[in-house]
Amino acid sequence: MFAFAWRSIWRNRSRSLGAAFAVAFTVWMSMTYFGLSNAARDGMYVNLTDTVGHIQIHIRGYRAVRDFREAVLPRAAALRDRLTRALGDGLIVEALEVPALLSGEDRARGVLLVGLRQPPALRRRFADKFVREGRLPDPEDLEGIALGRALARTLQVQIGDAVYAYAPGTEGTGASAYVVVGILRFPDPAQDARGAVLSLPAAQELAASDAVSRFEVHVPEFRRTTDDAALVPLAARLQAALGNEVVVETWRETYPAISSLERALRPILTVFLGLFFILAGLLVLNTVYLSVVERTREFGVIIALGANRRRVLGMVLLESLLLCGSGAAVGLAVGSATVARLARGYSYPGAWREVVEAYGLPEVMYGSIAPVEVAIIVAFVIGIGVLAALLPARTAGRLAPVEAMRFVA
Amino acid sequence: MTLWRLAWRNVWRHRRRTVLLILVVAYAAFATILYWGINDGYAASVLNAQARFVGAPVLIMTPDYRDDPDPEHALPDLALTAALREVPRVRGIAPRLEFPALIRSAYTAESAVARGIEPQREREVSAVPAHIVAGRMLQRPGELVLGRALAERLDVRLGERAVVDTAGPAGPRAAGLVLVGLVETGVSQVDERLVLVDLADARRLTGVDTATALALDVPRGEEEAAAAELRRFLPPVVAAYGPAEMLGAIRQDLESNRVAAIPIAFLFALVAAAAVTSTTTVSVIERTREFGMIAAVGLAPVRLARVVVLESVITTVLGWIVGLAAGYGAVGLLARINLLGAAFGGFVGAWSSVPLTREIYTAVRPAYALYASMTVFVGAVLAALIPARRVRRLRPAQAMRIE
Repeated sequence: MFAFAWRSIWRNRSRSLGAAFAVAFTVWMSMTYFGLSNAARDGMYVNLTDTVGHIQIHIRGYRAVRDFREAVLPRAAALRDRLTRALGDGLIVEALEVPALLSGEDRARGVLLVGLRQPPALRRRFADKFVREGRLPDPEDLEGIALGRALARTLQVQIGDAVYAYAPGTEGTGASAYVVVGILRFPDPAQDARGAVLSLPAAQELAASDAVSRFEVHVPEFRRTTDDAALVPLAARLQAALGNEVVVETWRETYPAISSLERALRPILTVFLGLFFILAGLLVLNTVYLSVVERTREFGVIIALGANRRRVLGMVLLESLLLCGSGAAVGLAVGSATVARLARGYSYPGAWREVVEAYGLPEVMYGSIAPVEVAIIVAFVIGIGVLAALLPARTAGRLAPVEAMRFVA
Repeated sequence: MTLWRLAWRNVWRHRRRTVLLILVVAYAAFATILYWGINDGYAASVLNAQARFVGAPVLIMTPDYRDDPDPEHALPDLALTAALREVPRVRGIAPRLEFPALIRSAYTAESAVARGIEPQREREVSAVPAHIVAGRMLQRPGELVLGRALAERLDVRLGERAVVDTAGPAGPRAAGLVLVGLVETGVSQVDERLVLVDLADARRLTGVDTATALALDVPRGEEEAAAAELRRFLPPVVAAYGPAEMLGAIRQDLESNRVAAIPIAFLFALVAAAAVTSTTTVSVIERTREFGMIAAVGLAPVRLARVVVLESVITTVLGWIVGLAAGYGAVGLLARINLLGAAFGGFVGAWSSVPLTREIYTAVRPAYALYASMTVFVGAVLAALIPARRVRRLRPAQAMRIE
């Protein structure tokens, strides 16, 4: 029977080639689809976690506290040492957020001053992303400040101008003068209208010495959505090391809204995936079915010659498995090569790069595909192909041999 | 003419084949339309949420105010209002006086932009008054309505007083207002920042006796067109802005969302074209024997090729029409059903806290027919050329022997 199936495949070479090619092409394209779509998803993950870190550490109950003095982590330097020891590698950002009134020459606005201390790599990335004019204040600079563009416009100040901060209810000097050294462009209009960045020492001098609002932990190796699972044990380990007056949260716990925005993409991606799979299925179904439908007549002849109907079905099954299987193997090879190429990192050409970045995707994206996704693709495509190949045999089996021999699709 | 008839008859003789080809072409068109309908619908829904909740469908303000939103750039007068009522698309007009303020409760303070409104008129232009979840809408001066999340942060309850401080053209002033209502819309910009006060209070606090903007209501989908039309008719000291112009960064996000959708759309188009091509090609290869017969009977290969091309054209056009009808039918239907509403809410549970909008409708645009056609067209051209070439090279005697 195997020999018979083998011969059938080679008897009509262009037909078999067409069907196998359709299967290979579909497997290849589906793998590319997964590669691209996973790259976009992971890219968005990287951008989100770049902004807020993978893990955040606040004082316990920070959400309910109204008073500034009770909302910050005291003795930050000592805490930072313990965190560094517990973390091993990983980057730590310290931030002190101070609500304040900021005035220019004539106008004043309520703002959120953020004192930041970042490791050099993260600081460079922050600057690349947000600085539109000038620069960020230096790490130990006590006088420089960078303002959101909308805020600078409202206060009617430019680089080199002085601004005055008034932070009532804090424990530092409570009031200070700064020089604008940079203009920042935040994508969120609210942040753009009330955000200002200064160095951590400057914010501590203004509002609370040796205190921070939060630590952010960035783990550079965690670049994929699937790495999120590893955050929960890491958070638990840090919690144990730092004690109970602080609360250690994964970024999903700290920012449920951002997290849900990322999760919200899933249903839409699933709908698109469904649309795509139906199309891929139609491609295989039509090509394989039409390439064998003429054989209804041939099967009629075989049955008329006395072959058992089930034997005919078995033969076609074997034949189509061989055909679709080898097609799928070729598709798998080409598809793997394509995804491997995407996995080395790719970026969109020229003009697109900027918009892709604005969308929340990094400049270089890395494609990937999970084994289970490959398995689903291969099973789906071979399944549809074999089903399509079996249809004419089934038709022939149901018809009287004479009718089958006259069959026109 | 005879060729047409021959092709037409062939199309219906091979009914199964025809159905499959129509199906694949129709699906390619359908899926393209649905894909862009959902993509654009998301963007349009966010814009709509901005228009109905955050801003207004059309805002009339001075260009200075748009660049620097401070009450000192308020409208010179409100004499325009009467003339605007005569503009065909304008369904409602409400004056607004917005000013930066500090809201103080007994416990803490938050900076915000307060919006002075005429409560009755505001209903005509905004969906916010319809989303009061506790208490009631403003009725008279001395009252205050807040976004629910903002009220929680301030820790102020219905019936309690909050103080609104501002330093407008009239110098620093303050007023104690009674909280009468809380708003929750699902749009975080509103829930976390909304401060509504009576227009009379706003005028007293700022010393401005006009308004910073006139908010207009126009039918959904016509915002930008209405704004463009109004700009021609307005005096030069003021201008009309649609929601897209008031969006800033979100708009850029939405547009790049569309750009990011293109690679997937391209892959989709490629597979769709391949499906159309392979379906036609294989069905022609299979008919080699039949073509041999026809050629042997005396039809010249060139004319036979024309019949084959005609057949593809007929089925493709039929499929394309079916696909367009189904695609536009589907997005048309989904444009009336909120994808985040009862029907789909469970499935897309994750959407419930998307901070941009609570309603998503698909978009329906004529351009999708073009996108769908391009895919189908490429597929059809390939499908027509490959087999036609094969048919022209056909040698009848050999062809008839092929199985």
